[in-house]
Amino acid sequence: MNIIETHNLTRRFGPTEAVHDLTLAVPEGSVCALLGPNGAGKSTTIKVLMNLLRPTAGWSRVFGVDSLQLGERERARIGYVSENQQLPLWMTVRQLLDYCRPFYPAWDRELEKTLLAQFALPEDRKLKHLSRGMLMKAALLSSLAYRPKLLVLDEPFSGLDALVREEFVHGVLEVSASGDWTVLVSSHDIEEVERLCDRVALLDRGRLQLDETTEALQARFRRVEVTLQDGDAKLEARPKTWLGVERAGGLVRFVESRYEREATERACRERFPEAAVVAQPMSLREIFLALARAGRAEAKGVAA
Amino acid sequence: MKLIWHIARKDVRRMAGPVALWCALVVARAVLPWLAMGSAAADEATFSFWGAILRLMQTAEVCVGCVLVAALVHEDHVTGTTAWWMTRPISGGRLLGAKLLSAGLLLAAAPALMLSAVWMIAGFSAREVAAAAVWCVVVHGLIVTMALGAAALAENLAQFLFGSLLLVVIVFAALFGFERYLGVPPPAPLVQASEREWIVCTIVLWPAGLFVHQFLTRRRTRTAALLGVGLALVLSMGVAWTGTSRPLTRLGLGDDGIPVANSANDEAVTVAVTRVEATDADVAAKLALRVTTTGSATDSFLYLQRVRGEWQRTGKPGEFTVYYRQKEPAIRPDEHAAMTIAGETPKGGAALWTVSRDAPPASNTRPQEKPVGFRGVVWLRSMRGRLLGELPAKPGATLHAGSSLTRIVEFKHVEEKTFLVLEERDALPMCEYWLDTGRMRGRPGEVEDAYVLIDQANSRAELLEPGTFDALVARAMATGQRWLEVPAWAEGATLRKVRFEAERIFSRPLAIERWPGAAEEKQP
Repeated sequence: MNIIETHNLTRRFGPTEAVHDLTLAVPEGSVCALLGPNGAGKSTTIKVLMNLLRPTAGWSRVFGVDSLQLGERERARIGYVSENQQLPLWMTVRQLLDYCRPFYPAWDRELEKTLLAQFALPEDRKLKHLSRGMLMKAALLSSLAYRPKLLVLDEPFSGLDALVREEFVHGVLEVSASGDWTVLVSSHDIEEVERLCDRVALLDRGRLQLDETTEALQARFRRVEVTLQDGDAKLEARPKTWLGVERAGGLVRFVESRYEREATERACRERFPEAAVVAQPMSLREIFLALARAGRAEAKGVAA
Repeated sequence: MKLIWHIARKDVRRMAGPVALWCALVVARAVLPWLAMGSAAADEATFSFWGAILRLMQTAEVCVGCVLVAALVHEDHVTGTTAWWMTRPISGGRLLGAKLLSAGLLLAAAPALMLSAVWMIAGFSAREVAAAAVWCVVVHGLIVTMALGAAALAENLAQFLFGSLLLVVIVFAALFGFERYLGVPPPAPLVQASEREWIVCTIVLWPAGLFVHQFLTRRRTRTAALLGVGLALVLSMGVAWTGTSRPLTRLGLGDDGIPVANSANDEAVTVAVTRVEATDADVAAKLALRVTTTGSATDSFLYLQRVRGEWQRTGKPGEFTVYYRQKEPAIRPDEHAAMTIAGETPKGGAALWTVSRDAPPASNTRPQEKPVGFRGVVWLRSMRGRLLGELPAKPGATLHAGSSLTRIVEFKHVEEKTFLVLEERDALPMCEYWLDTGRMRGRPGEVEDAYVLIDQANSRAELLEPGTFDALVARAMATGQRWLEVPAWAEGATLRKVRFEAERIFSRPLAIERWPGAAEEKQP
């Protein structure tokens, strides 16, 4: 069952199209990262999903309910943390939790205590006196203590230092491991998300570039290095699946986006008969960067 | 409901400090003139000074109150996409309920409660406190409603202030557009609502509608569009509307087609036309009515006030409703005629009443027909008097009865006249200002004070004219000074204060077969 679904989702702000024709599905129990550079449309997509914005076209569903119809019952099963959220800063951490509790029938006081200790949040301090990291942790705590079926994190790592990020990720990992939760996390910081997610959706300029599991993604992407023996290379008619091809002396580097060992090696041999080919696995960050660069190059080519 | 209370409690806790300060301002406006207008004889400059201070305080009170409303609404924004509550299991309807509840508690009930303590200390009766509290809640509620509408659309304080300013200008423009209709008071106390109330409600309810719409839909553009449409409608109605200010609820008609009011004390009063006089004006005439009271109504502390007269021209369906209008003689053709009725204090249970029609209605739009005859009904109010007390006519003497405080400040001799200067304070729960004739309007029921000077040693007594009363009215309390012209023998005499309060209203049918001049006109 898909917890989140979008179909041909489009959202415009005047002449600007923030999200274009997005069709996406997040299965139950998965941790999905919505990745993309700034302005890719990640936050807009999440806001449409949460019914904070209305779609211009298409539809989106959460728990099988149209986002426009999200009611109290559905929201009681959703945890939402965003860098832009306006928390009631005049409250103390304790007051925030006391205020939140009655809205959630499933609020778990034991989990609240555990998380409070784990995040080392000062209960009697006002939110406005907390550091940014602490504030995000307080927001996360208020969104986790009722064990939401869906946790939505919109750019949760922005402005957090490395230590706090680590704690934050650790907190989410620990909680998500303790139940069958679905997590949707948007970020432009792929390194932090990499450890969390088992599924990735990449957006660029409002368009979906890819949507698959990290396993499948990492399986089909390889950084390929070809060491030429005679310096001769036929780079003109290269496959479209080769991204970011560059040559430096006797070395040709590219990213294979449809890696299959035999097929890739065959393609290399056809062009570089005497060359040594080495294919290395890539991190999500490297894949993300390769796709982003390829996207930009393509855009420049179209513009030219 | 439990969650609504939960949200409202949060708002109350958040706003408690600022609201407490604001309530202090509200209470100060009630108490300040009372304390400041001491027993010293005040001149016109003093009154205008304190009047300006009170106006200033009132402005500050309204402005601060509106900012508090905005702060209350912006605590949980209904615009934008960053408000915390929007991603929580809180529906727009629930939040709306909570905001209305907390606004009601903080900005209407809290000041009313605090003022109630002041009113009780000032001697208000339970009825007066209740009436004043209701009035306070209603007035605050109207201001809060307007501010809620603006706050729901604004994203921040700056937007709210600009929007409010715009709203105030537009509402005043709308009221100005309707001004000619708003001047007509409801023609009878038995009428439940008139178009005046309808107009005011429309103008006030419209921002309330915007507020509700924004909370329930969070579609700011559409709400703003509704605002525009509403403004255009209200403003165009004010300019183009040709309706009349007829009451929405009419009294029933009797068998003979004459409106009949529920009357009380029927057997005690007889009203009859005793004299009809032509006047210089083309169609104006005077009626002399004799009002005879018998039985329980014959009391030394009873007199009758004219409330309303309603006339039908014989043989014609046109109706002449009697209104008292202070300004703008725009009488609508063949529907309303302004009339005034003057009376004298009854002596021995009888009074001579004079009814005169005003200038011809809308003479510039239609030639006025001379009426042949009239049938009508006159509504009267019996005013029952009670002796509040007496005090020696010497400076410093004080009479305190309930909320009424009377203190003799001094005797003033101006030219050849002698004036007694009184300091007066009293309850004015409905906060309408109508003190120039000594009558306290805006109370739960009409009140009129009368002063009788008695010189027992020489068996002399004189009913004093009400005199002028310069007053400051703030928060259901009137504080001021009354100048009574007294005879030379006043010093050392006793001053009695009699308070007349409305007892009951009743009606009597009247008929005039032929209006003066009408018969002659019919002659060839």
